[in-house]
Amino acid sequence: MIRIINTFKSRIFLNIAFVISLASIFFTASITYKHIVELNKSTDLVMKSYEVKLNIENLMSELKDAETGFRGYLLYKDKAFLNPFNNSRENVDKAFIRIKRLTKENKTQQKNLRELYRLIAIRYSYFDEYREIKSDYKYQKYFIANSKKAMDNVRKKTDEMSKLEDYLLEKREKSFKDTSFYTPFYALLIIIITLFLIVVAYIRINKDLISLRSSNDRLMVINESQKLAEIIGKFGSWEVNLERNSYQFSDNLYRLLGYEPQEFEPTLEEYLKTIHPDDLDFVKTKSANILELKELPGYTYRIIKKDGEIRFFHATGILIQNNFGENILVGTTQDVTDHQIYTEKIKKNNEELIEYNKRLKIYDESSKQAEILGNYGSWILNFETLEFIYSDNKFRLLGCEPQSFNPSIENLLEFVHPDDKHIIVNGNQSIIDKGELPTINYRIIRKDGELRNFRTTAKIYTDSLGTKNMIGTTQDITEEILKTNDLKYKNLELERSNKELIEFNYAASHDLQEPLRKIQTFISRINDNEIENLSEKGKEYMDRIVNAASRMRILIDDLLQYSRTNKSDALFETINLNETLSNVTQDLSETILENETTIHLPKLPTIKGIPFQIQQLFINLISNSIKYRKPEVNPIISIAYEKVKAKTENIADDSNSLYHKFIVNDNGIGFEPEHAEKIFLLFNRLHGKTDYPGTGVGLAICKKIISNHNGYIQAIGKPNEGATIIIYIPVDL
Amino acid sequence: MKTFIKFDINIVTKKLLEDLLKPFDLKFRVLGFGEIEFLENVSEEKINQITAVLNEYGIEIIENQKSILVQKIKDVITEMVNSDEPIAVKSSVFLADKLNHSYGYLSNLFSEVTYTSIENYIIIQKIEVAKNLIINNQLTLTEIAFKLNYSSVAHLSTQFKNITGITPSAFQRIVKKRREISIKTL
Amino acid sequence: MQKEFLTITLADDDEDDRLFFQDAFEELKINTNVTTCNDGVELMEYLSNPDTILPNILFLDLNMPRKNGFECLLEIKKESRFDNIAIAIYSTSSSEEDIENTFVHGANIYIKKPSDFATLKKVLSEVVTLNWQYHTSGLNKENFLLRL
Repeated sequence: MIRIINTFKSRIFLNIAFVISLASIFFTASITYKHIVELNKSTDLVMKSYEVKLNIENLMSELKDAETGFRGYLLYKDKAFLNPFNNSRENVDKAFIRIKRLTKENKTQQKNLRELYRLIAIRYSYFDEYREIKSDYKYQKYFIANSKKAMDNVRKKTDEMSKLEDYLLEKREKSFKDTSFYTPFYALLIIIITLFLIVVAYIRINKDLISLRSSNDRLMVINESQKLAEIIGKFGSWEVNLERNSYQFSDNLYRLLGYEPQEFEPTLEEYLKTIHPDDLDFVKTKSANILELKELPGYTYRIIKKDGEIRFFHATGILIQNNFGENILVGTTQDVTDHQIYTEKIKKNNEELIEYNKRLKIYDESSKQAEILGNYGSWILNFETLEFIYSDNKFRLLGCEPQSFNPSIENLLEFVHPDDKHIIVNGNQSIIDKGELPTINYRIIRKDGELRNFRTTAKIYTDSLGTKNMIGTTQDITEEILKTNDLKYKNLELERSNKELIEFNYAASHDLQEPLRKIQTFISRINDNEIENLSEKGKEYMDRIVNAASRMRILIDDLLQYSRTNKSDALFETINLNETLSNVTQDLSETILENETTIHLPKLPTIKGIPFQIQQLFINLISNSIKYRKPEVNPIISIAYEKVKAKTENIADDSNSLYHKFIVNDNGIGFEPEHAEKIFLLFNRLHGKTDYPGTGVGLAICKKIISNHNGYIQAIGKPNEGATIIIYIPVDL
Repeated sequence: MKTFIKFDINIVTKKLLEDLLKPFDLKFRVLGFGEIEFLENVSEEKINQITAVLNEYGIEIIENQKSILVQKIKDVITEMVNSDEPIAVKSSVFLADKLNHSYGYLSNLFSEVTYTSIENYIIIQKIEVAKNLIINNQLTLTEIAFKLNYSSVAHLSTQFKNITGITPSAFQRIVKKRREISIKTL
Repeated sequence: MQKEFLTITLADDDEDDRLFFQDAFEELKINTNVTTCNDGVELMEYLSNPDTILPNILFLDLNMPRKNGFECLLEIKKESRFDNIAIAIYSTSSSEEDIENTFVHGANIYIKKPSDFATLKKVLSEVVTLNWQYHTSGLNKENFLLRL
């Protein structure tokens, strides 16, 4: 707008300047003209005067010529000398006429001229007379004197005339000088004024030109950027001249439709072709009321690009009138497909966000409840501002109302047990220095004075904006500590109790031996020496006593053996199982030979364990296999070995730990699979004591030994198909 | 400091006897293990003196014929058991041959004097050899069993256990540990 | 052997066991001279007594008050003048380890106290016999190991 005003101002200014300059030029020009005219006049007059003078001189000269000629004639009597005389007369006349003409305005000179004419006439008359009176000397003298006088008079007259002319000339020259002095001045003035105005106008015009050019340039740039804007903004513009029904589409509109710029004739038909058939009616309806509404309200419809892709377009337009009063619809159409997609996404996002929000609210609530239930509070430390935010329950943990004080280290320290304050301070320092907080345990004294144990863990969390926060959880672990302490105490109690039991067990078994042995010994003494003194009944009773005592002995022996295996404080040593099995076979050599047993042994590994217990283990297993042989079949016992991973085996451990696996297999009488676990129970027997000797401690001892080694033992068997004992001993103990 | 030595009892005894009997200025000859032949008659007094000297070394003069024979039996058995080459014949035959008596007579005599049977004595000796071989650590149990004419290690083990009450390997272990302890206490 | 006297010593705190022991030897009809001590301290004093004729075989109970059999064993083995004594541990049931341990520390014999008299006699007889074998046949006393 301002520029327009400027331009407008500029126009007025120019007009004014133009008018003023014109006026001043006229003015000055007229003055100059006048002066020039004057100058000319002056010049003329001067010239005239000079001419007059000249002509007068000329006249005189001619007269002189005539005179000379005449003299010559007179002298030489040659008519040839009369030529110039004749001529001169002509010339005199001519000159006279000229002078007459020249001094027309000057009355005085005219008078003089008439005088001169008379005088000249007189002179000439003398000439004429002389010619006639040729030889008369007297006349000659008279003629000459009169001629001379006449000539003198002429000369005088001419001198007079000349002087007058000189005087005029002087006057005129002066006037000329004056005029000529001012005239250039005025002329210069005109020129200067004119120049000035020209310069001003030039400057102004130049400025205007420049601004016009720059406007033009800008317009060009705007035009180009408009084109670019269209490309970037994915819109195209169009013009419809409603009167002439002519269309104009911008280059980008074509591009948006997938065509090259101006690829097809911009007509309504062509444009309608690009619209999606389903939206065609819609578009037509929308464009129907343009003339009334004076605008095309924005609406979205689908088009089909040249390559068949469907896009969403949004068109809007406005009705204007051009300089010819024609209705022009000017509009913009934008490819809003992305926007459409985007809008839909946003809508979906929004819906999701609302869902999330709902859930978050629920989470928040449940989190709050969880905190109360779990007896913990959470906090957030903003690394930028170094401010804390405490959850409600964090306050409650300290015995305070939620948000009842400003969360800070200082305020927290007031609750911390004096001996543990350094833990908090160090922790805080760790946060400042290293940006991390290790798990810390400390005591606090609640607002109500109660001592509680707290545990705090924290983790750095960097959010999507890159802001670092520390998220921490503080839990009241007082109960836990108490329970742990309680557990520890109970555990110790249990251990002690266990140890006592084991010792008792051992002592009992051991100490029971003594009296039993005595009983047996004394019985044997009686049997040896006094048996005859007994009655039959007495002898029978003695027998039974002996048997019972024997059984008791065996029982106690086994118990003792079992309780010995409980000693788990024995050291683990390196055991070469090949040696162990060699010892075992030597130990059992007699029964092996008696039963014609074959034992297949592979190369066995070296393991870690309690040497005597492992030896006992294999003694028990092998002697069992021999004991429970099929009567008609010689026992064949084979031991197999492999190293296995826990998780591939059917044992409680499902880690990747390695185990030594031993399979002791025999061809004896086997057992019912349902007893597979029972046989390891203490004193559990699958057979009557009369069928097979033994109290059923052997396998229980094996199990105890394996348990001492953190291993596993399983039994697999089928009646009459032998028994297999599988042993797992961990490689690393 | 302790050193472990191995010695041949025959050589030791012979040297000892020679040294002991030298001051008596008697002419004598040591015939094998346990037999000295005096090349002149020795008075009873002298014999008593010699006996006294020898007794200090645990050496007894066996006068009794029976005792002498029993001693001979023992010697033969010792020789038999200790020989590197396995004896082809049964021990009873071997003894009878060597000592020119019937085995039955020898057997009875032996039991009467020693209260043990020859078989038992043989076994004891064998086990004793086995113990020495085990201590020496040069041979495996299988080799020892074979050397001592057992059909298997199991048989050796069985007999070893019968006599000593412990297994050969247990014995080995004990001897080894005893050595370790004695080294420690040095 | 008939001419020979066997000097036997038993250290056991149990009266009954001492009784059994002596009775057994009586019935064995071996020329024995049996002495008993009631505990380890008494035993060591007895052995250290210069008047004491050192036994051929010493029977040691392990469980004794004041000084148990194992301690006595260690002490005895330290003294070279007791080297000729065959030491028999005479005890109620012990673990394999403990038994082996007594051998390792110098015991020659380990006897688990039998629970009938006949066995006791048999055991004692065996011990005596084997010991006599070692004595008379020049066998290495060091290798004398017997477990019954």
